Amino acid sequence: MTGNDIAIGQYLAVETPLNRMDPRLKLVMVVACVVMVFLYGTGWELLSFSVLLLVVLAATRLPLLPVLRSLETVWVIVLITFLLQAFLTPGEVMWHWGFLSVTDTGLSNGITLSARVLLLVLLLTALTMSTAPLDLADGLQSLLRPLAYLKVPVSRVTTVVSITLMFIPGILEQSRKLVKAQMARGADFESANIFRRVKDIVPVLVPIFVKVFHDADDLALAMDARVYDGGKNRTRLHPLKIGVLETILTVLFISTAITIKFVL
Amino acid sequence: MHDEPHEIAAENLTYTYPGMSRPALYGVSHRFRQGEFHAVLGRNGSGKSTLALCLNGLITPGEGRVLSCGLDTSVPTNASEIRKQVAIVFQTPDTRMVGSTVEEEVAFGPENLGLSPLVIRKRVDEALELAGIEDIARRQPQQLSLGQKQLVAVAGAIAMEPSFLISDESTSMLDVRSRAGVLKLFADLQERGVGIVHVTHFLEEAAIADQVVILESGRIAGTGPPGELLSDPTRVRNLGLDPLPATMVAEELAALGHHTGGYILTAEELLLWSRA
Repeated sequence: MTGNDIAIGQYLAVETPLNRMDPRLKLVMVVACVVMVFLYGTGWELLSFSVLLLVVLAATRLPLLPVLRSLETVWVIVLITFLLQAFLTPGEVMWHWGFLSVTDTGLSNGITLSARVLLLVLLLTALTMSTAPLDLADGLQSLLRPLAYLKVPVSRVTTVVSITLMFIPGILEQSRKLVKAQMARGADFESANIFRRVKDIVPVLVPIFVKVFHDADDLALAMDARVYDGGKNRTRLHPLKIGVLETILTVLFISTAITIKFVL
Repeated sequence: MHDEPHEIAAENLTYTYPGMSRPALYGVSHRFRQGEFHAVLGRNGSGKSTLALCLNGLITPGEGRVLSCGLDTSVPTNASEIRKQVAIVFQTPDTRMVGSTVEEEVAFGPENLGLSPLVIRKRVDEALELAGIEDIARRQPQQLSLGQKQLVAVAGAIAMEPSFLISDESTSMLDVRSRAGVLKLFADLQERGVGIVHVTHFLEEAAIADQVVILESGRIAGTGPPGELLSDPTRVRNLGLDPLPATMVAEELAALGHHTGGYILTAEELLLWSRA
């Protein structure tokens, strides 16, 4: 499978341990990881956690690498984050050229912030790739159930989240097609200057928005036709069930992530 | 599937889309009976799809009423029961799928009915078997051909165990073989007592129906058995449709003085006449 076949947010119905895992445990694990990623203060902590995460994800055999390779926008964001931090943070100057200078604090901040962005993308990609949108909605609904007592429309909110995830691959696919169609008619998205590129992207954005709204209407109508009422009394073909082993592994993983913070 | 035959009755149905001055449907009255195959025929913009949406209450009439299995579609509390009884399949299955696998897609309707996992499993298996797609139950819908996706959509409707199945041009984007597969499935469902309302602009599909309803500019331009309604080429042309090839051959033969007499809609009927 290549990066072009898979997009961020896309679910892959493959048989991996992570796919089989209960979505509630996966959500708890991801939330815990996100919190830890922001709590880690040093490069060593982040590096140790990255190694732990990569080992776990490698064991799940999810084809994450092709996706990460294809995320050009994320890499651009990471690069900009790194450069801004490296050049604009005050500290002891390590390298100087003209008005540009790289400081030790800037370099350290650049590396940690870039690592945080990459880890967050990796975590969310692994979650969406291994969890069907409807399972994700069920998991979220189950975890957020207490909020229903505060009159929060939990089932509707979780449905919106899962459908949004469901739409991402479609939007990306649609934009790829439209870009190709525009390129076939002379638009230059690769070598033209930034102003020309922005000018050429407008005719792509409008049909994407129109298509997304149209598709959303279609989907809402189809769900309505199949008696969907916000998921209140919905049962499942495969009801959610938390296993003992997966619970132990989740606790172990989170405990290790916390230990990294306090040991290193 | 059900003991007492139901019907969907459109009574003086008029519907105007918001912001439009001309009604999409005007004074439409017709009864669709369970166990029968009805074809709704008409050119683009004639109101076919609007009628399909009205029949299971996805849109409600501005004037007149629709009684689906005895329930008024304008009453909001009837919506759920009507949609259990009257399932609908749309033209484009791609943008209407929610399940991550075929069996989850088929299970979506029964899950919304709050059935137990065992009952859902039974319904899903039966629907997949009837649609002949058991072998792709674990595949992702996005990986399927358009014809397979449409069969999945029909299986999803079957799993609701409806009294009626509305097909809103569900065959219009399919190749010949896939169209035949979907129509065969409709015939199987009709045999099991499900009423089929098939919206189409293909005359050859309308020709296999028990009853044809022709819509023209939102009004009913004719109803009756296909032989009666579609074998007159002049009438068909006046409705903006092309007559069936066999009917046109019969017309040419009549012009040459060889009158075929009865209704000619298919090549088989033409062949039988030539042998007689």
